[in-house]
Amino acid sequence: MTGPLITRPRDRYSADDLAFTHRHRHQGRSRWVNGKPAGATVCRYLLATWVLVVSAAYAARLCWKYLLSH
Amino acid sequence: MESLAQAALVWAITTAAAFGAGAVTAAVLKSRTATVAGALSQRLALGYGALGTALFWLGVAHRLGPEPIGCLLGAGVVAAAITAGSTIWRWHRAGLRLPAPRCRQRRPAAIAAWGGVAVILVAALPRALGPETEGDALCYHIELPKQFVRLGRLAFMPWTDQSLFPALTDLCFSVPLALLDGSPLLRLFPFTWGVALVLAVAELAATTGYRPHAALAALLIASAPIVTNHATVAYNDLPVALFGTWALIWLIRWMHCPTVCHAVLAGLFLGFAAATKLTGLAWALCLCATAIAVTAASRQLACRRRALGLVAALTVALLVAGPWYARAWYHTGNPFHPYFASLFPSAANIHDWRPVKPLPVSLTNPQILALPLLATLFPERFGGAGQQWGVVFLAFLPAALLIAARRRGGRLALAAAVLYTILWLAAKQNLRFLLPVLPIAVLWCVAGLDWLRSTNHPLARAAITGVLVVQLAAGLAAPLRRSLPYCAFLLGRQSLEEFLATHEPTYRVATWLAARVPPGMPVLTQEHRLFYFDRPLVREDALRRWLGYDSSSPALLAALESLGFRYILLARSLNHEVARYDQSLRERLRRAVDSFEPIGTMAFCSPGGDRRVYELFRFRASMDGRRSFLLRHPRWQLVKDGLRWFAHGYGGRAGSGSATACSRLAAAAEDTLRQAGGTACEAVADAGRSQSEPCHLRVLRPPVLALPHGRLRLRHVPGSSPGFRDGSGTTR
Repeated sequence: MTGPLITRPRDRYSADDLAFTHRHRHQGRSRWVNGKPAGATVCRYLLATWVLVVSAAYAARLCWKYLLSH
Repeated sequence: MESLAQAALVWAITTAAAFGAGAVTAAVLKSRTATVAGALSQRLALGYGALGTALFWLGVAHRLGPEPIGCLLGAGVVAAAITAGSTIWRWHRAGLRLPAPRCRQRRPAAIAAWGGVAVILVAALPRALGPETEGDALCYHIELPKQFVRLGRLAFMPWTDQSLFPALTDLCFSVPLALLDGSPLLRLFPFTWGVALVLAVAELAATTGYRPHAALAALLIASAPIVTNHATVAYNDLPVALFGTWALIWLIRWMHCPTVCHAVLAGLFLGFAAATKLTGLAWALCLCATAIAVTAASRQLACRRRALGLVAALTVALLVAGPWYARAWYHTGNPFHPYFASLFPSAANIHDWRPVKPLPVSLTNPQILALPLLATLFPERFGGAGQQWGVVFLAFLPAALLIAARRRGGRLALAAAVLYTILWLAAKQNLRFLLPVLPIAVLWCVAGLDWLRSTNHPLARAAITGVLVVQLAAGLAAPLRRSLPYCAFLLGRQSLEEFLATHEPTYRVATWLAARVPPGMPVLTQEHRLFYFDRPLVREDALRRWLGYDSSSPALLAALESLGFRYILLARSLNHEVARYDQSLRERLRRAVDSFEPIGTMAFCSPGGDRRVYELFRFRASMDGRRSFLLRHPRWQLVKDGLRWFAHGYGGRAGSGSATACSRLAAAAEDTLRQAGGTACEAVADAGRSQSEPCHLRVLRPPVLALPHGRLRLRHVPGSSPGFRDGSGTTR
């Protein structure tokens, strides 16, 4: 008989591991690769940072133009 | 209020007729939409496009009057009734059971999003119920339909620059203008188109694979300040976006399911967009080019069915929009008159068409790379604060790459948007001309929000919350702020006349002019906003561009007088940032003071700080012996003939009363404005009816400092005509 005897995840991982894997497989992608954030995750953080900065700049400009400058 | 009720009724009947025509067209072409919102929007868009096309042919056939328009509306209402009846009959046959909802239970988020859309639209509604006061609308968007209705046909008026422009949706304004006395509630039509655009974007999101986020897409486009601004102004940029969005939707569907009906629907909407505005033609060309390129790249163009569909779409678009351009070609030899004069060399091309202004950001400037940032944070450079899109479209601009990867129409939409934006960069760089791209921008925002939401990180949650709060706050504050001045009028505390006298400078000038110029007398003027004038006014700068005359010609005034003009209305703005007038005619008059006599002057400072001086002059009757050789030119003859029926539309000619020359009235009125120091005031100066009667200056609204209530008497020196030797007056 060749090959591994244990083939299904529930026999290899703990319940927490399975829940983590299921959650992230359900999302279709992995968050961490080799202990570092995956490329898509880095892009998401970059996008979130950009969105926050631009929103803050726009809000500051509106406040200056319509509230403080009058 | 009675006129408002009548106007609301006319709008309701017109919309019902359009809806009926759209429903019949959709049924004939077997169009099925993904959402209920899309079904409503498509019927409205199809119906208004069909109504504009029918009005165009009525105008070409010289039948643009109340009776034919009434028949047209009647046919539309009958179609609506038949459609509604057949729907009810189908339900009855099915045992009075409503059709099963296509979606499962609506999510609370979608309900909240539709609620947000409703709140924003309600905030914009007061402005939509007010009278029109915006510049371009009063210059030509509603002014030309008024003239067309008055003449009963789509006439070529060489003394306006825009009478040959494609104006499909502008013609819809001719319905209330023909059926009603006055012009209230014209803005309800663009408001209807705005609602249809919001619903169409929900359908676009559903078509491109974002069906769960259709309500979010509708909320995002409704929250763009430019949409609520243009939904309450009688412009035609928003209908271009509406027709362009539907053309994109049907092109995407045609690419995945190449039926003839899909191709014909795409062609109809492409034609409507091209017949609405020249930017619509540019958008239609971009969409066609991109669709051909994408189909060819996927090696599907060789398929006979696809090639036939493409030909069908282009043929339908050409049949719908072609007559508008053929009309311009017939009159001037240039189908895009007055643009592209170098491509279509013709004797009829006008001279000196709008001096070229520098672009806000030149194409060679490195700032062009930061253009989205500049256009969002400094919209004043790109057409004004009213044209701003909001922050969410810039924030999620990087997510445009996400929709490019979508199989269903993403590449087509993005490629068309990029192509059109490149054309826009080389043109005027006004954000309102970029409106057709806005629905695609909504797609990348939805894609970005969805992508960001899939990570449960606090930073992503904060970003989504922050950008939505800022966008919705700005999107709600902008229509509220614009609606505020209309509340007193809508609550009945201010009459229509009082509102217009306060908010529209040309309304009070029109009233002042009507008391001094007899009906039917052509007036040469520097004013551009002509809608509220009840006299046949001709813009001097447009006439000069058409005739190409030299304003320094000594025989010019005699030639203008023999064209039929008897009066000249000069306008001058003391603060040029508000309004700017071409002063060539004033310079010419200054050199030929003995050829005309001043009648009166009006000067005012509006509550917004707009300070203007208007002066009215009358040609002397002694110029008949100095007829100019210019009149032999065919263009001059064309204008002379045209002015005859133009003036006839305003009533018969009447003899003018005698007027005594007076001078320095303008200077006195201008001094009044200066002393008022920017406070709202109004001063009217009239020449006396006889030589012995002194001229007087009345200060009508005086928080004026040096000239309190009373008359400024000016000493008249006989024999020194025109004018007074001494302008210093006494007040009492």
